[in-house]
Amino acid sequence: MRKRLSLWAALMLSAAILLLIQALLVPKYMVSSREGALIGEYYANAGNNDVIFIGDCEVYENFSPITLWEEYGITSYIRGSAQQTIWQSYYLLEETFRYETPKVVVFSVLAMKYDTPESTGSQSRREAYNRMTLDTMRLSSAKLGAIQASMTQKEREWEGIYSYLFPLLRYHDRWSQLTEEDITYWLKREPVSDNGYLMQTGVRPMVDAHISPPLADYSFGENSWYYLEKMAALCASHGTRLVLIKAPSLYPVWWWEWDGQIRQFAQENGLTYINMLESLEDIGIDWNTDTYDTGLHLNVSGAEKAASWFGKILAEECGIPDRRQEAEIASLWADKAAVYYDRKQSMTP
Amino acid sequence: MKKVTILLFVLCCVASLAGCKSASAVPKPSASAADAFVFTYNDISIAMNADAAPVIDALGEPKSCTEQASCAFEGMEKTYSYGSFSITTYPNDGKDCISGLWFTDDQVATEEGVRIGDPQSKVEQIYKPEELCGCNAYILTRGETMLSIFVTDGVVSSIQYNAVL
Repeated sequence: MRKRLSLWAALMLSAAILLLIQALLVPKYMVSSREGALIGEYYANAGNNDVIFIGDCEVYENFSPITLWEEYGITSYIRGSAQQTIWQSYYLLEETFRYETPKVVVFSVLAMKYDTPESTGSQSRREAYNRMTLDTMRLSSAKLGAIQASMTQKEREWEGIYSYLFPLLRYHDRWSQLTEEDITYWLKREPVSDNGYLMQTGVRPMVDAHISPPLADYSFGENSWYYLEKMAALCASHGTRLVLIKAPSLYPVWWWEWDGQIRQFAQENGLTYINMLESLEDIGIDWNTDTYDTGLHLNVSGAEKAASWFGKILAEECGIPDRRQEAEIASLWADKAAVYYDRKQSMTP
Repeated sequence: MKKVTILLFVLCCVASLAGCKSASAVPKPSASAADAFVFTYNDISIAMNADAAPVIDALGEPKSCTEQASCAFEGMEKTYSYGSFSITTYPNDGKDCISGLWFTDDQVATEEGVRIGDPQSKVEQIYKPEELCGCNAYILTRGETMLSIFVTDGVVSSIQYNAVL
């Protein structure tokens, strides 16, 4: 009996040591590449969100949930991450439905351009992007599905799923690259976002138009359509309205051939599709003041304008209720707004 | 008990060392592949994955240059336009490397002599017709480079060089 107890104690101690080492070695995403912290921040804010945005930087940098709250009383959360692929969006959506049932899900359709993990760019960069989305997802069948769908062929050959489940296997040799950030945030994290919105306050006007070479084939891939159809079916099964959007970013190019395919899909499936690039004037985007990187993403000024314009659609066309009269929710969002404005002030040059 | 503890300790070490391959085995693009598509302009050789700085210096002032930040990484992807062609670069190990080049008019041609506006038959004389990928493009791969020739209504409409990353 004593021997067995000692064995258990040794096992627990070993596990605790491994977890501590893992916590030290994994990237913290608190100072550099803050996008990597976004997915994990959702769990503390899950529930009571009438609108869930899902997608890549076109959602987490282009819409301010605080503006949606202040102007329309809409509660929302952005489940965004860097270069989030459509298969990751699907599994994040699947996971979201385990925590809450939003009235509307807003999906950024730019992700349709990537059909396979290999099509997203170099192996090393894809893997790094995968980590930013997958490492802070809680363990669930949705996470397992997301990992399986996200790994490149080379990742499968080298490590399989294990390094995503036990990140120590991936980051064990990071000890020589540890910085002060790793020590400071070894055992704690601080929110980097405001309900999933990653604030940017810089201003870098658009000077020259971004150009892209033409594509050989403008058809979206089979895998992209497969996951878009799954998202539509999943939302329908929960009675949630799926709204497809193209956010007001000028680059990467949103080809009109792509626009036509999404428009047709929306029509055939009874979905709403809004291409915000067609309404830049109405939204009031000024490319001299509302972008921090020459038109690729909006800064906070632009994100507030985009939310202000889009909130009207959510309220009037989608029927999202104004919850500002609900005391408990209003109090919660007053706190969120206070944090938002503190952050805005501290980040304003 | 000591043996068990030692065994567990060894297991921990093995577990944390496993998977070493992932970090070091990430393929790094070579900057000077001998067997690759290369575009030459005014005696300046422009190879994919090569260091962009000497090429950009040699080409002189571009007509325009735009920068695109990635979603989360340091460094900028850049596009330089020189009238008849444009070059894109990507950040790699602290320097910019050439990731792509595309023609914008018929004033420049591939090493093999194909330019925008040429008939499809000329492309098929020079390159293999079986390379047509079914979507009006000839996609040819050589080493870590790719040459794509797009054909619209029987005429070359676009020519692009890309690095295979």
